[in-house]
Amino acid sequence: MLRGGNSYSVDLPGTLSPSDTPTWMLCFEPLAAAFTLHTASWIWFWINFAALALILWLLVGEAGFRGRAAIVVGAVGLMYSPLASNLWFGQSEIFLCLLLVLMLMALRRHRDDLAGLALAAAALLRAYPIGLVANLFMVHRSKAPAWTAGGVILGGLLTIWLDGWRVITTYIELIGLSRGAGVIGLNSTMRVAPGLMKHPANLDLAALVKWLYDRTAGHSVPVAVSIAAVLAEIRRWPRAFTRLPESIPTIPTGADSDSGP
Amino acid sequence: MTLSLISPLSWYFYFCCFLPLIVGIAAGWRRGDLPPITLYAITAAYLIGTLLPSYGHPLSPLMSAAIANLPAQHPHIDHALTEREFLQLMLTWIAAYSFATAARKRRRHTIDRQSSTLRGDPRSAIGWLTSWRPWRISPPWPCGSTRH
Repeated sequence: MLRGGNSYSVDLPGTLSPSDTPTWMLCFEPLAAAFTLHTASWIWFWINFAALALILWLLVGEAGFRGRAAIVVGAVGLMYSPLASNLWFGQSEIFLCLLLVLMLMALRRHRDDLAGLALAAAALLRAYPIGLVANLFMVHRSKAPAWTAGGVILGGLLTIWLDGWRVITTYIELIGLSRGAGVIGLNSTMRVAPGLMKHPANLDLAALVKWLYDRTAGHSVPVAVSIAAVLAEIRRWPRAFTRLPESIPTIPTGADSDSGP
Repeated sequence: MTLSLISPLSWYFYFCCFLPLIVGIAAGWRRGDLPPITLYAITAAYLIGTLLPSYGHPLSPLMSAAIANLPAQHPHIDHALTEREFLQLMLTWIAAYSFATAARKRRRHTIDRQSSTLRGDPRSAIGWLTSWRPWRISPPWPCGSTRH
């Protein structure tokens, strides 16, 4: 893409069309351009492993584990089975997890700006984490979504500048946004084989519920519906978390104990 | 957990994002305020992932070999084993739900206890306001002790 090519237009035999975001494809560009496939895959493996080590270091420290307990918890985390699958398939979820951990840590420290920017980075790279904006509203961090929006706009402009507008329009067409289908519509948002969404190995719960409801698991749940579903909970959650219960037992005092026999 | 809802596709390696949950549950267990169901559910999910691993895990070849060597008349075992990832997801969801609801109850209990303590303390403003009954005229001494 840096040389003017369009990865979304490349049709390789035996492979699915890429459905990753242009920013994600752009981040892979140096690996693809500078190294052979074998070297690039190993570099990506060690990048993932470094991200995993950083995740565990941050999480163990944040949870307050020290000494032997920290080693045990770190080892338990390291042996978590999905991590091996992620490394085996060269996937990106470890990197996404790192961004989420950074977001959670920033939220704990009341740094809404950093939390919003971490979520913006996750959204630029993987798109669907943008739905977590609803969670930010749910925990009453209304400034963080503004930082997310700013980060997405800034990162989007940077991607357009480096990728070129033609790549962006291809991606927009790919996900159905130009047809009004991707975000607010009911059509598939990705050019993947519809069978993948109702594949038994697809563990997306929304697809399962959708299949149980109307047998259309081949069409993904639009992002807007997911966000609205989480936002709908906002009306109930603040009251459950912050409001005092209706009947609060009181400790009897001398003034109240005048009701004798 | 939200990510497993909002992603159109969610393969097994998407469970990597549950790592903060696992460490958080470990921290809760260390504090001693973890509901038993949370501990059992997350332990079961972890063990399923470890003992019946998927592709990429070092023990996966053993698992594949065991399935391949199953007698032909027991295909149902193969089908059951392929659902282990879904079972792991369900158990993780149960652990997360019980963990979150227990934290909510604990927080409400803390607020409840603080409020009742404040109400019971006549020196605090809240205690004075909540214990003041203008329609009741009480003697300055404890009433209970004078009636015995």
